[in-house]
Amino acid sequence: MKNNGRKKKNDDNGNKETESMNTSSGIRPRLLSSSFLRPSHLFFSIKLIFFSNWLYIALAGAISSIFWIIFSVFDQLLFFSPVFVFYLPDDAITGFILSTITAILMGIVVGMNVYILRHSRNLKIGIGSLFSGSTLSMISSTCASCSSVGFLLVSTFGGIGVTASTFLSNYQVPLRIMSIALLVWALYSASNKLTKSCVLDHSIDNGVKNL
Amino acid sequence: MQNKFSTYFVLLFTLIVSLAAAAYIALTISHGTMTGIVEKAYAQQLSLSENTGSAAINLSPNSLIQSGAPLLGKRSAPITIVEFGDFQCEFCDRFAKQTEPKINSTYIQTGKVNMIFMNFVTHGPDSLTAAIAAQCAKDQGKFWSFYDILYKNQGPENSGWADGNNLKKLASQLPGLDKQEFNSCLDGAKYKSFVDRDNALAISSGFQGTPTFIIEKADGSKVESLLGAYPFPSFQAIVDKKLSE
Repeated sequence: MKNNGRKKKNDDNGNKETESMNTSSGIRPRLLSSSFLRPSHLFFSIKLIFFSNWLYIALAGAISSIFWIIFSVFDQLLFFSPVFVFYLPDDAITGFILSTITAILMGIVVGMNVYILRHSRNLKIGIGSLFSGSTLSMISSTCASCSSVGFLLVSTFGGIGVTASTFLSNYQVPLRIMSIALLVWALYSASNKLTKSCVLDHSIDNGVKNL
Repeated sequence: MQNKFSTYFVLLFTLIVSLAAAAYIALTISHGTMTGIVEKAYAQQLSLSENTGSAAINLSPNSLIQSGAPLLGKRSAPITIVEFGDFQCEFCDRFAKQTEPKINSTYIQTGKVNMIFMNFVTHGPDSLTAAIAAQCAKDQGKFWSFYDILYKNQGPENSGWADGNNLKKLASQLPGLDKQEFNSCLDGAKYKSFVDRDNALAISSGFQGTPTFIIEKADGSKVESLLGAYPFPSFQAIVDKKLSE
């Protein structure tokens, strides 16, 4: 692998660090080869991506907004007809906070994965945790038994459908927390790839090739 | 390169599919779509009654009241809101606590609107027991008080909060209730066929979830439908429009 403009050194803990000398974007990424990711590196990855090109901010904002609307409609907080109304009753506050966190995480994770796809040579993105987290959050974003989903389950599968829709309704909050955990894992994986790997070409969005 | 392209494709495809699914679900529960479904079903019910000469139940206020459905407000009110609900339904609970009190104070107490409750039991066995118990309370003129008590005490679905024993305890909170009569009505499942008939009407009307609302004029015309725990401004827009027609 080419390593132009880079030097290796050992940090205080003995971990090998690869320090990029690329300063064309004003960012000096410190790339770790350690498998352990510190929170500061997570913030670094987010900063690296979302301040490299406004398109990533737009993509993350669009994905977050779309899913925020979907979750709010499914949770019966946002209505478009007969009049446009958004209301937040007491019983929906917890669910609303969780679904808003989920929507924001989905935007960030999708943005990060698109960045990895654009900049990596043959790196695979962690699609499993992103999709499972997204799917779980969609499934748990409504009172399953009250909606047409529950009606379909009950009318098609009878007793098993009742059990399934009861489970989805009664464990809605834990399922949403689980979906957030999966998305945080997806964020961690994406961030880990960004800070750990030397196969990313961070200069693509800056118009400079430095690898 | 091909691997990257296929990953892009999977991402894009999944996004499009999830958006299409969400749009489809949103469309099927929308006010316009539900109104279309109900208008069609209602026309079929009326045509069937005319052709066969039978007095089968349909969605008109008169038919529902005559069939024994509980009524809140004056019978002479020009607008009727029919709720198809389930006592275990979380969104019905939200409607009962957030929206119904505002409809009651603004329109029902002033005689502009009346409200009918119909059972649409979709949440499992305890929902059927709760629906029968509510009809047993209606026998003693206490349906709407029991309606409030049930939603005030709603617990997780099929967790036992709406089983026979607990319903008897909840009913004992109703002042002036003849407990023996209530218990015997509930134990004998006196209103099971009544609830089954409500359910059959909901299904034949094309309803797909709870709560579903019908808002119509007293003669059964100008039917509109809402699926979900719509807030007060949504009802207000429809009712005010109907009152001014």
